[in-house]
Amino acid sequence: MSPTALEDAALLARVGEGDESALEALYSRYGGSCFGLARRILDDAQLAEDVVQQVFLALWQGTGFNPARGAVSTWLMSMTHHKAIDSLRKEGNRRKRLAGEQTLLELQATGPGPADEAWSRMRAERTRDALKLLPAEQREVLLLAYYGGYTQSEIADLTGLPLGTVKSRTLTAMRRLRGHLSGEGVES
Amino acid sequence: MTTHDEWDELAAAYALHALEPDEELRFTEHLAGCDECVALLRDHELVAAQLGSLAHTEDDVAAPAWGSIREAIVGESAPVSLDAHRRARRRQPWVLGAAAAAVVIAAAGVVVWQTNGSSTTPAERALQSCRQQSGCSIIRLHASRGADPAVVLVSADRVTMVPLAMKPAPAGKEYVLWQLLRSGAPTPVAEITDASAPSSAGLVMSYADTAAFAVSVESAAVPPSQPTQVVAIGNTTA
Repeated sequence: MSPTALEDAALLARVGEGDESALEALYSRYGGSCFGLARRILDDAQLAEDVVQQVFLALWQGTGFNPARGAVSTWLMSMTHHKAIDSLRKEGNRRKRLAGEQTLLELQATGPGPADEAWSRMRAERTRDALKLLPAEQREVLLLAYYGGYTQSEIADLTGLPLGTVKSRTLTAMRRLRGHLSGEGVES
Repeated sequence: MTTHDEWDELAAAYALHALEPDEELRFTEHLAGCDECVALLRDHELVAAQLGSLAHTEDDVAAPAWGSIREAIVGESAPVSLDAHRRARRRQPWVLGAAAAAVVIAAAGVVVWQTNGSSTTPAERALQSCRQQSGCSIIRLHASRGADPAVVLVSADRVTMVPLAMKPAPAGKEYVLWQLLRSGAPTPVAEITDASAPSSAGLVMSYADTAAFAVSVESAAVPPSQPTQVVAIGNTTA
């Protein structure tokens, strides 16, 4: 477990004891990332704020987080993603879902910032580089699902691909992305 | 393709929140009893979280300040600690004796669990009775393997779990029935002290806000704040 993950685990334990300052510390660390993700998916700051509130409320109430499933930071992003997609589907607002892929790949984070921001930029750059190494058709199914909020059945309808192809392509893309991010190269 | 390649496909799509509801249910049921899939999902969720990092750039609108959302999250109340949770549970009439459960079920028009003297099973009679009632909902709980262990009947803000094929809880353990809210939050509804008889309690939250019911195995000595080992789950039709 990384030092950051250990600190997060200690903060989480304090949250479980009702320590509001620990929750605030976790929000300070990850609230921006959660809000940024929700806003990117929903394209609406107010809806994104609602999502972030739901996520940290769940953390405060001690519901949903399972240490066996990974670190607090991963859970927060996963929870934010799920709730944002739920909100997107509920709102029925899919107008901008298809416009985002190229934007995501071209975004450049520049300029000075605090250490956490620098780390976020590095991580985003690394992820962006890894995504660019994927074949376009694999990248497409990943981003349609993650940022577009489409189910695999909907992606099959959109792309004209058989559902089985969408499923296998998604798994291959996730495995390859993991390989690129971990520096292990391409996994099949 | 190996058997677990199929589950791995579902795990990858689950991490992306891209499964249809029926597939998601199938996967979560399997996940409850499969350590290999827990590990697969952990890896996929890590990759998905990395994808999330692309969203945050400096030209974004700043996240709301803690002070502006604090009240919505924390309010004036402290989180539910295990001790507080235990005290709250003691205040709630979750655990009913067999007689009390029978009264509740009979009042709801559900034939109570019996062990002999009939050509139909108690569960079948309970299901039939519920079907004949207006406003009675039936939620069948599924396990990752084997027969469905129980059904949940919801009528007039009360929930009754009718065991179908539940073994007694292991020594020192007990079953707990959970209400899984659409918000994602699990809420304990009833301790199941007798796995061979119906257990009934009031719903903690409205049925309309409920996505699923689940049964978990928990330590009898330490009340849980979230499900530890889910053994059965069923989606609502609300």
